Amino acid sequence: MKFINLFLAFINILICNVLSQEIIIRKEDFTSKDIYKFVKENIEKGEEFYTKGRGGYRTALEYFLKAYKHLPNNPALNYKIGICYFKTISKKLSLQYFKKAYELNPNITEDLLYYLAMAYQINYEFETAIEYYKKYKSRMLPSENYAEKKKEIDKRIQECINGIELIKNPTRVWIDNIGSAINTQYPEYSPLITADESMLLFTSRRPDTYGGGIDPEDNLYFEDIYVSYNHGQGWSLAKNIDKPLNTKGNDATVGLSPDGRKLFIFNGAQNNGDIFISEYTSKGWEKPSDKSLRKNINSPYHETTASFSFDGRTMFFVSDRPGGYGGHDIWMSKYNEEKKEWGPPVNLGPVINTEYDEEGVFMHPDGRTIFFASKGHNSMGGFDIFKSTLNDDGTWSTPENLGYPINTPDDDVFFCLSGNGKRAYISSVREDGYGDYDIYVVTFRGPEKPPILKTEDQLLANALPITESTITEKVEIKTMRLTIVKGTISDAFTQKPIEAFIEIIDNVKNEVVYVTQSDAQTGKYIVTLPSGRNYGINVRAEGYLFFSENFDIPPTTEYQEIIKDIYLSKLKVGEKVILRNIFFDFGKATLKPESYAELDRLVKLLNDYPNLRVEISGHTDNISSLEFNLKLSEARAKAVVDYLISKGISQNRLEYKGYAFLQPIAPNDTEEGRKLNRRVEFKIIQD
Amino acid sequence: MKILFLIIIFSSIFNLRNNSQVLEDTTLVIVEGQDAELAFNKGIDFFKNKQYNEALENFSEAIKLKPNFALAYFNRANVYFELHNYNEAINDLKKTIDLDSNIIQAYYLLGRCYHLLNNSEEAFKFYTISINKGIKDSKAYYYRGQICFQKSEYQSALNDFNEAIKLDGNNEFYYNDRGSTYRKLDKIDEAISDYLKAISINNKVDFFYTNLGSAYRKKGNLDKAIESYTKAIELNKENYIAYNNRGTVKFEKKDYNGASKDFEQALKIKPAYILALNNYACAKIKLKDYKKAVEILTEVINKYPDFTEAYLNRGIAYEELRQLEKACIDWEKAIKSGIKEAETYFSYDCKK
Repeated sequence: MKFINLFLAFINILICNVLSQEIIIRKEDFTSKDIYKFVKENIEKGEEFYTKGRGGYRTALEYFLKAYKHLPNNPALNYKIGICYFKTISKKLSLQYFKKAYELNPNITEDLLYYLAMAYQINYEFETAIEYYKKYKSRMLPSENYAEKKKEIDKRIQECINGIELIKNPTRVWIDNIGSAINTQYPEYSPLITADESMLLFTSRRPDTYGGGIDPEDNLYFEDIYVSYNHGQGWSLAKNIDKPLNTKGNDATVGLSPDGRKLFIFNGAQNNGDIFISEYTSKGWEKPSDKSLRKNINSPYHETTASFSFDGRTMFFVSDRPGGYGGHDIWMSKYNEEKKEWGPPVNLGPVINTEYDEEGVFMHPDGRTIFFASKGHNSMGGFDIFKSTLNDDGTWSTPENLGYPINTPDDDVFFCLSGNGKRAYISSVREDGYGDYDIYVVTFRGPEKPPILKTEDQLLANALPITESTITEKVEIKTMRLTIVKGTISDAFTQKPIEAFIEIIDNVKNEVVYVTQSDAQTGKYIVTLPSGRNYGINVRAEGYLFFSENFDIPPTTEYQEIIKDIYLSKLKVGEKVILRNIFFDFGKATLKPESYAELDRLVKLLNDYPNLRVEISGHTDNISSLEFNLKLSEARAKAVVDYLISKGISQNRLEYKGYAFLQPIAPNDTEEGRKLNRRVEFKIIQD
Repeated sequence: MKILFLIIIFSSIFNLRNNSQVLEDTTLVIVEGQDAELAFNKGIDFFKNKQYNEALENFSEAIKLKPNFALAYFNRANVYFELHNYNEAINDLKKTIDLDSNIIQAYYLLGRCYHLLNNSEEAFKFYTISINKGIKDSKAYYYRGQICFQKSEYQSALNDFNEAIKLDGNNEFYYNDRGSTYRKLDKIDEAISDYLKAISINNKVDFFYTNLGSAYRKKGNLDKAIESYTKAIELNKENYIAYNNRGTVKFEKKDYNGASKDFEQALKIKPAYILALNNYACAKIKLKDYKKAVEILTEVINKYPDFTEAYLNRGIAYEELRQLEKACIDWEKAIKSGIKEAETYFSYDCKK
């Protein structure tokens, strides 16, 4: 099973039967024997490939078009050329052939009218499409699945009505082909990006597929995963990501964690289609495994796309298992840390899922916006991309169609969005493409910007006119509520990159929300922090003192990207660490509960290195007197020491001291500087 | 046609500009040897016949013969006023007050002179003295109301216009100006009612209709606004303000072609009319002719670098043309000039 085949919804049609009708030609209709022979041969070859999947239609089309030059008025040939176009890439081109076939012989096949209607729909001629769908419906004879067929036609008519509405107000975007570094004449689809858009993974079917095999099902190369990087100079030439992610069979990209270190892969060979996971470690990508997914996620049904939440603790995935609302639905599962497996899935409910298929799920790293493809809701044809937001009460907002031109009457399935919400990556067939499906970048331009007009009036009878500004409407431009922190982690002395563990802690809940690592070769790391929490970031590596940073991000904070290069110091006498996640009540030495996570890390360090002796020091800003601040800073240092003692650390390993504002690390003349100066440090005094 | 328009306007407001009035001294009994009084009376006759130079000679003669002749000073001040020699008028009025502080009209006329010399502070002071001394002239309130309006003290302006209307309920300009005050106080219904009252007194003044149109626009009644502007244009085909304003209403109604035509017409009447040029470019943006919009707005900016809205608008046109760098430079300039919208656009499109 190929990944791509799951999403060609528009052409998976109940009603149609492309096997019908043979192309019959007569010798006497041609001016010469040679031409007759030429046409006959090409038709025969075309017929041979016709119905052999997408690759087959493509080859058949080449033969049929050769024959067509000498046989333009054969209804069956026109019909079959229409089918070849419709079943491959250039669906729009099918219209002229279906039209001609219909003119020549409207009864050539039972489904011609239906194809004609669909071709009109694909070409955005919604009114005409509706007309033909209605015509087709009126001619339908009662049959075994009459009700089902009628429902399908009514659905198509509704799609056309949706299309008429949607194209009235196009979404303001630029859509650009991502370029020749990524796209080729072969299909490229299912793009996945890191939140900071520095890495792109996608699926392609190229001659350099691992093993070089062609899928007999559709005569195209097996699906493989490709990778490209962008460090500010544009996308690098995409490379086959090779083993162990790629195999001789179909390997496809499904979902990527925002930091680019965990990947969901589609494995079509198992169970009709299952999801696997691979993690990026110091040795590169691990062999994909479904160990954690076997019990609750993968099933004998289709599991197709999946997406990680920003913290990697929740996954959203698509399955057509029983218990849903019809077709493929979106489900959610939480990771069970103890059992090391994904827990029992929960259906996302009827606001998101419809009786039709949902697919292509993508959870944005802001933790509250989900994108998915659906054939239901107000799709204008096949799958359209929709967006829904998680409300504060845990419900999902009504899905919103992303609109034309992101969505088209054809299938629009693959969609992922950058951390800042400004660029989406989609796959599409467009006029400026390199061939077949290509990857495109959608740049969201926000609402239309109204210009300012100026008027004036002679308001007072004998004075000069007075001018006024008019602005027709106000625009509110929203960005994603997300903070991306990225940078490199290196040795403070040698400056060499370090592979370090990064823990993101919700200080209020005192729980680790996410664990990631910096890259062993480059030291690069990236963490995504949805707004609305007080985060502690703890970075640790073997033999080094940990590093602590605090990001208190109010709920309304808009998108921001913070570059933070981190230098870790070796565990040796004299080295010190600022404990950024220790909080006190204002003007007091009472520890706030948000401090416990950081304090517990300090306890762990002291337990891991039993010979360490440390000095805990308190520091203040220069507000209030020296005397007051000396007392306060010492009391605060003592409060930390008392906590450590309460957790079993021996008193004789701990010293405390208050330095008031005598050792500032920033000027005290700004609030920002004063905030940096209010701190607790620990220093190694014996190792 | 333009000349005709000016004549209508100025003749209509002539009664407002006619601030001077010589005072006759009814107690004056002319007996032999009273040459000063004779000259004074002659001066009055000349003044009435608008023979100002002769009037001036006679009042001066009267003053020469009788240096403490307060009314002669006052009357000569009126002659100077008519001759637009406001500084001389001020000197004579001050002398008048020195000699006789009960001549209340002298304070009002002092206010008027200062007002016409654009010294609003002194004007306000002397209008107020005349009012405090009990003047019953609606114009003192009216003109003081105008000063308040121009200082954006709309409530005080409203109080003065109310007093002016109490004293003279048939002056169309008082209603117009009170209507404008209501408009500034966001009392649009009252503004409309006053503009309509002004029109009911005199339906030949085009800017009453322009103001009425703008009030309807504020109220959201765009069709009525267009109707009023059209009426203003019917009264005065050269009224470029009405064309420009009507264009903005058509713009608001998304009739961008119609708006363009109005802006073009305004520009035909007044080729360098900067507001219409800016608005014309805005219509071009909506009609997706972004290059033309950039061209026009560049012309606006070159001519009037302080016309900051043009930077915001040109930024929008550049963004549509996908020339983001240029858009960001323009929005940055707009931000520096305090245009809030530019901050929103800049933060979305320009911040890395």
